[in-house]
Amino acid sequence: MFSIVEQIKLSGKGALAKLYQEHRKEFILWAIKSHHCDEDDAKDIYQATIISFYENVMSGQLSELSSSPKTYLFAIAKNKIREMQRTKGKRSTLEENYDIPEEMEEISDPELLRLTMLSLKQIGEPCKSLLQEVYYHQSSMSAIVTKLSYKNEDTAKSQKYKCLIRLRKIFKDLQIKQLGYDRRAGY
Amino acid sequence: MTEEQDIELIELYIQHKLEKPAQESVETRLKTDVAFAQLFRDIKILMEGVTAASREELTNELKTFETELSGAENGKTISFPKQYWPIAIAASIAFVAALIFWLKEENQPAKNLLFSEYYKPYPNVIMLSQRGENEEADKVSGFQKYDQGEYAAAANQFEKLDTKDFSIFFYLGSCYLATKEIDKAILNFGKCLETDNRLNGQAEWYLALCYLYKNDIDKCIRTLEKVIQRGSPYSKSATELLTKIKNPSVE
Repeated sequence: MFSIVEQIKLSGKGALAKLYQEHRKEFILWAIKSHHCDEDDAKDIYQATIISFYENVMSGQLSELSSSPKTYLFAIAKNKIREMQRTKGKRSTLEENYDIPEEMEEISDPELLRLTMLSLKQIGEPCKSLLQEVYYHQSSMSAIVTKLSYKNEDTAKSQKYKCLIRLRKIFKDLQIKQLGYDRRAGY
Repeated sequence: MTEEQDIELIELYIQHKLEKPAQESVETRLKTDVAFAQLFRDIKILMEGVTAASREELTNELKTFETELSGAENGKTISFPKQYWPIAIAASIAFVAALIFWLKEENQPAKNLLFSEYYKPYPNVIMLSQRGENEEADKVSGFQKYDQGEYAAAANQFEKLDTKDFSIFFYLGSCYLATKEIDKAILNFGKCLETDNRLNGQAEWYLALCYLYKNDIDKCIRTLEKVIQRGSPYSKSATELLTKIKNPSVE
């Protein structure tokens, strides 16, 4: 039988939905009861936790679980709750059993980031899915060939390069159009 | 080194996948090669942007999934003992009639809430070539505007097309629904439904939402029933929405 990590690697979001459903009720109750979250916050944190789990698996940071998926999820969530409470000016009174580093990366200039997201919207398909497979889902070229029906890995690779160059062009045009100048030197 | 090779190197550096000497070589070039440093900054922000956009999409998918799960939990039905069925049926008919009146006459906010809960713009699933004749250019431009959420501008582009293409009718309907020009939306979804095509299920669902928005509850219910009968991917949402229209206490 495949572990949840293997299942996510094999079937991606399908396995993620199953994982989400499996621990959802218990998680929400736990977040409300033990961490005094309201229901909406509990759900938001659970979603962010599931996404972190997915990203850790796909990036290869998490290749094997030494504990159960539930323990791992709840450990990630504790950090997220602490972060949320810090943001909201609350102090968590709970003891920490785990110390998992915050996996959200520090990002560049938010305005530029917004423009890159907009550029991705503008580029359309099939480039959008291809770039998402490469950079977010971190799929291998062979997996991308199967998933997006490319002829072979070389074709997929060359298409990815072309898409990236197109995305860069859209981004630069938007930068000049929306910010009035090229802010590249600023980050 | 070609630009393609440089990009590959930058990607590996950002993903911490380079050995120490290669890593140091990138760092040296960043200090000495202006064009390389420029390319590095661009690739880095683009990779972050793709990641952020993808994370946002996944979050939205999970939120939709959560709504479905919560809806399913809240939608649990209470069964009556058999001997009370006639009374229950009579009571429910009276209740539905009262509710329809209530939705029609009294409760605009409740209706709007239902509409916004179920309405999500349909994504562009039509792939187009960037090259082509004028008509193709209008289509491409229309779908680009649609992708960017500029629905009024997209509708203008689509209106220029002299076509009987069901997909254009469908996306025109979608544009008008997004801009709340409901009568035009109804007209175009109707045209899409005149022929048998792969967007019939979608067109019927959005048509039902048009009627909901317009507060034409009778037509909304009839259209939702058709969506359910068709067995389209929207059947589940249609059943759920129908339940909520007929039973406002479910939520």
